[in-house]
Amino acid sequence: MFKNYLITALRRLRYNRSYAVINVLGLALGMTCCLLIFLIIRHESGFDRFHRHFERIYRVVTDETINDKSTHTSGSPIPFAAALRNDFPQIEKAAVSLYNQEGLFSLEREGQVRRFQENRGVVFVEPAFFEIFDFPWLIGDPNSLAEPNTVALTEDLAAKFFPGEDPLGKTIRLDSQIDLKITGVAKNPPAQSDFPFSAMISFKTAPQSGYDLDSWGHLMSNVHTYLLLPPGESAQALESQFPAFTEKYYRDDVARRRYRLQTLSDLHFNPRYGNYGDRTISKTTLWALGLIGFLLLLAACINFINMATAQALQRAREVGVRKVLGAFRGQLVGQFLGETFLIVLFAALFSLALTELLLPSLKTYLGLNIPFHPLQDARLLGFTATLAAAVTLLAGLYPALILSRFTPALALKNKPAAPASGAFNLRRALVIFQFIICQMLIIATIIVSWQLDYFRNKDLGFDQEAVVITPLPRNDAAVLSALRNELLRDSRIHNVSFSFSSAASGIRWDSNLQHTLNGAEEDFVSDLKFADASYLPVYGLKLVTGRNYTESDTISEWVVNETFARKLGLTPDEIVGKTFKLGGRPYLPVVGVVRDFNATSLHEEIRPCLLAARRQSYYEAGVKIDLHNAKEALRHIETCWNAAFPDFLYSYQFLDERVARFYQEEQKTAQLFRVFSGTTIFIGCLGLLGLVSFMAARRTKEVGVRKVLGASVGNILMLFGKEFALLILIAFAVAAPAAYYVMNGWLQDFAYRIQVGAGVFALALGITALIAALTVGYKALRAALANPVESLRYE
Amino acid sequence: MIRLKNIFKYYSNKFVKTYVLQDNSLEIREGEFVTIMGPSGAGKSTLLHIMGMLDSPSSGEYYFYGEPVHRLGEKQRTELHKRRIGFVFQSYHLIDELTVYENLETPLLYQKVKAGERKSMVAEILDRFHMAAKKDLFPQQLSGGQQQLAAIARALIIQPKLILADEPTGNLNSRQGEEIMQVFKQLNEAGTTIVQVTHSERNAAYSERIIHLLDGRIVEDAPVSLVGVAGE
Repeated sequence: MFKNYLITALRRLRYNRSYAVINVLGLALGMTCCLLIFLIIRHESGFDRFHRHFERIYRVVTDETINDKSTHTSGSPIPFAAALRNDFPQIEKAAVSLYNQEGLFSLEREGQVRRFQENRGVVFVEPAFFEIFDFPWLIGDPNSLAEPNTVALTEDLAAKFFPGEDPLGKTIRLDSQIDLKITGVAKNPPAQSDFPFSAMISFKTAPQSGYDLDSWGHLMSNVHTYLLLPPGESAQALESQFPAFTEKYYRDDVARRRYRLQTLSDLHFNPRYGNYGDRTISKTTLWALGLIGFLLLLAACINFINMATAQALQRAREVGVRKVLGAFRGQLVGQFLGETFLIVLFAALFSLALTELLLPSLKTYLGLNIPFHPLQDARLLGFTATLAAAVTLLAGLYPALILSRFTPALALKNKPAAPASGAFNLRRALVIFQFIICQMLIIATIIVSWQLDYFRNKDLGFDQEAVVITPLPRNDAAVLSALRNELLRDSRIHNVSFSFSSAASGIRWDSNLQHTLNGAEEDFVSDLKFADASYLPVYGLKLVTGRNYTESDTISEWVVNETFARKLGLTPDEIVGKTFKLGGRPYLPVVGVVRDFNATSLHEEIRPCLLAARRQSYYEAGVKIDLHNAKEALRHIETCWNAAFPDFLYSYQFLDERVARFYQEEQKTAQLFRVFSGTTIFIGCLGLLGLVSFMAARRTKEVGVRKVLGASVGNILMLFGKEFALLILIAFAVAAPAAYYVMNGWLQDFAYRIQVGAGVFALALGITALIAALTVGYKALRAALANPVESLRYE
Repeated sequence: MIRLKNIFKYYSNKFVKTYVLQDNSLEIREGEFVTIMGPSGAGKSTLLHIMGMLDSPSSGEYYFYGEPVHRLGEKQRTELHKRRIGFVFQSYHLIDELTVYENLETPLLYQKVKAGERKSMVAEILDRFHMAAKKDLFPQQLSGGQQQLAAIARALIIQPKLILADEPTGNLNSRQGEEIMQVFKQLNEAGTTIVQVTHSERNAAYSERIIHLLDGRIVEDAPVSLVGVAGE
């Protein structure tokens, strides 16, 4: 029996090659998207799960209230861990870590000094860190990190520094100033970890890098406190004891700060706090991805259903014959499901191959290291099998039930009972559903793309063109002035500014100020931008009123932005001359106001900002160059830089590239949207093709009769067009509000966003209509051009 | 063998009921060779389909070997007809994707006959119809007469008690038609009951009894000798 079915199925596929290809292709595309999404979701949700104590590890995070607004940071005070160990004996382990993504290592090999700029994670850690987390050491003992000036390297880094040599006991130098003895080699951290370390330095070394181990006041987002709770210990109970506990150590900020415990499982998904891996993905995004995968699969199944039922007429006779020969309905259902399964099986194999083909580019693109070994991956195989079974049922069951229901007497006359053509039948509902999915994705794609265009074209309040940013490893007066003079010697260098950070930067420094605008001394929180007097011209910041501050090594006067004045209820003209105090300094006057500029990404609103000169805090140089001679200018900068900082490695970035990087995640989202909506549209087109061929077949006689009665080709095309226009409109009525709701929510993430207007929807509708018209047009035209004598012959 | 009582068949849409069969009663005994005749649209095929359980009457009773078919479900009806009734159609209705051999084998598959037995049964019937050489050909590769022979062979492979033939020679030339009718005659002589629908007086002459249908009603039911078939 099985053989008989298999033979029929295979021969059918061979006779109906285009039908088979369309079906296999549609399903394979849908399944490939599902497989890719499955791999992404599995990868993202598996982060750091390999730690034995995964469920019991927590991080201390801080919520702060600033100017009545709440902010969140993953940082906690450096002495927090030690204090925890002291006050809460029930905590199994607590450890502090201080992470810098980059570090410059120099070492002596074969009598030569070699330098390596490492950007894969340089971290100061306490030995207890390795008792909380499972990052095994291959050589040495984590307890060796109890001593200052010790370091452990990962296998990769050890092999890079000392190829073929035993690294143990060797000395390397960090940032040209701290000597470190290698006391161990650790296994490379797995790809699925938010702790991408390559060098682990004893925490006691941190003071040599300028960190104050006893400061409770300072909060840095790269200082993390991790702790391991014993089984059964409640994190909430511990958290509730924090206010009393911290008050004991640091009275000042108890009211403003709240310390919380974040589970390790939340680390990868909570963008509020972030992690050392510098990449979080919200669970909502994963859910959305899963949903898109499901919808894509559904679209592919709908496709299949449409194609299969459109073919039903051709198969009706076979059904009739088999019933006459004694087939039960169940046997026919089995046969048709089997045929579907065969197609799905081809599609599944094809989609595995496609996944293998597409995954590498997706991996590079998303920056994910996702392994793909389908033959050794039981869960992936299981998923594929489940997927195949689900698709077989979803796609195959309805056509199988319809086909097997034909009464043999009618089926043999090729007149199977069918719903009246005017009725609102399932097939139409399915196509409407497909249109809904398509249009929602089109609308989403348009909105994401427009929002990104808006970013690219928005006036940020400063000039991001032709500015080269390069780090300043040292900021002594002599070095800086020599560097400036050297740089300006070349006419291709227009101007140079040294500052804490460029006009737009991922790094923000805010602080409490005091003012006496209302009589008594009051607090006010503002961003700080320390920079030399060239800052305004280099970044094209415009003075609204007053003047620039004068060049100085220390703070002597302020320039503020418009928001700063507005938040204090003053006009720019009013604020000039008012005085503000920072830290232990005297009250100093505001001498000018600059037009507002976006100092961080457009995700955030413009905050009050204070500019002043303070050489000690200059870490970056902004160099305005002549873009027409960029190559020479860059070479000149590199030469000057290397002369100024011979112990360091040069690197640079263009300001506009830095700004563009703020929206990297959105760019990826946009690209994913484009890919998935493109796939959905393609699958949808296949489905439309199926539907219109069904309609053409079903209406052959009607078209013939109409033509005999004098209908023109245009009239006939209208006949088909009207039907699809109606389906598109119904789908649009559902898709537009749904997409509006979802995408409006997405836009809320941005302080600066586009208004979703009628244009988006009109464009989406237009695109859908055009694609549908192109798809339907060909078949409809063929039906319209058919000779009526032919189409009426069999009636 | 077959007893029909007050059989009606109509199709209804929102506004009209269209009667195909109106109040027909009929009995056919084992071993008979019956012809149903009548103009196009008289309901001949519908009556045949009802007898073959491929269609069910809108009302009325149908007993097959005493079994009340009108009370059986689809599954039971299938169970009943697949062992006892063989069908032959005007357009043969072989399955295009299967070879002659596989077409003949299909009814046996549905009866769950074992592989070895199936093989010998197919071989035997191919032999009987002198079609052994054609067993691996597909229907489209055969002439109309050969296709109809294969279809008859397929109907006979289950050794049916009853053969229902709907214009079996309608698509064939006269020589091929003659051959097919000879086969039916032999089968009938060997004890198989045959009911055929035909327009051809010549084919009707092979049978013993002719039922005339007009506008869905049996208007005449008489032995061939009395009807007086005109030998052209």
